Amino acid sequence: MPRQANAVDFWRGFALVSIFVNHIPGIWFERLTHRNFSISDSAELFVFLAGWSLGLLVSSRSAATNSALLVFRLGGRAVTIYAAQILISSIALALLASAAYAFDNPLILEWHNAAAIFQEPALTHIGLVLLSHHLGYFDILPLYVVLMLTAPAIAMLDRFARPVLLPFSFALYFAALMVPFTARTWPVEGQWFFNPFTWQTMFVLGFVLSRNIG
Amino acid sequence: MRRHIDGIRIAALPLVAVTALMVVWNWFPDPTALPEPKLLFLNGKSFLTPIRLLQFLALIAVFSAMYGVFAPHVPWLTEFLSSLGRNSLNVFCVASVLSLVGQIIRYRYAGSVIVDTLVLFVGISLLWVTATVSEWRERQKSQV
Repeated sequence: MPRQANAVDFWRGFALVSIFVNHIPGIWFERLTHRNFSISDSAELFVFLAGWSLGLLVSSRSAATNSALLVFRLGGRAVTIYAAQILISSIALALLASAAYAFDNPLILEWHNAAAIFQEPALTHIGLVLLSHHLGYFDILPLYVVLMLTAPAIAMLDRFARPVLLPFSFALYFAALMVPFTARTWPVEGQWFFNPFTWQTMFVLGFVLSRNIG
Repeated sequence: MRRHIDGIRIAALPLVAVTALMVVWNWFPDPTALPEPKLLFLNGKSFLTPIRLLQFLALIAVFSAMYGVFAPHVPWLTEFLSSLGRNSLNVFCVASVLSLVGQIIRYRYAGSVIVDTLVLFVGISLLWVTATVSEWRERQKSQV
């Protein structure tokens, strides 16, 4: 049986609907989403709740008793999210190619940072698989993969050196802002839309607050 | 922290209100006039700058209370959004693809309100189908 409705699932559902609407630029209903009244938007909520869910998982009875099982589960989740990213990117490319043919408009092949994939497919496909090339609007799951890969370290820090976790996260956050640095994209020169060195703080805050409030 | 949540909400409310006005009236400082390091003072999504982080924390402090209003009074909405949230990866993947389909439809049909309403209604319906099928599959697996 699916679990009963709860606040975390409710707000995550809210974030998903907002993301769907916000990812159709120009749609009339875009003006109703909360980013029109808020500096932050659903991306922050989505990442924060991912951290919150991690906190709930880590505090569950099965995870609490077996660190190896926990690390294995989190690693498996990262692989699942990676597979999802590859799948939706492939479908998106096929959609763009189909639309370009159907409407006889090759400019559609350049939407959302897709031009390199059609113009220089050999290198850019390597970039897609390495998560160093992202399509526009398809760039939050690569962040999520990185966060889930670091989740075992977050869980172990929480278990064995809890006072260190949040200061370490904020130190990395401010270093990335002040130096500044981020993850680079390849083969198209640029940077990740979601800087994993700063966005990890949102994930860790969700994790830490779930442990204190949830 | 749970004991202090009411006080936190009251403290967060002015920040939520002021930043809402900043967004509505586009009251953001000129980036070239900001001191170094600029990322500490800018509003930037890629780097999740401090103003976004702070405003988000204030926003959730204030609006997290709304679940307690929705859950008893609008149960269908609570159950609907929760079902999407329970199956978030599947729903997110379908939403990402459907939003691109929506963009293509709007490109082809030049985005009238009727087209937009259809895109929204069909899209959200398909997100609900995705969540429902995902949960049906889980039930089948648990019975095998």
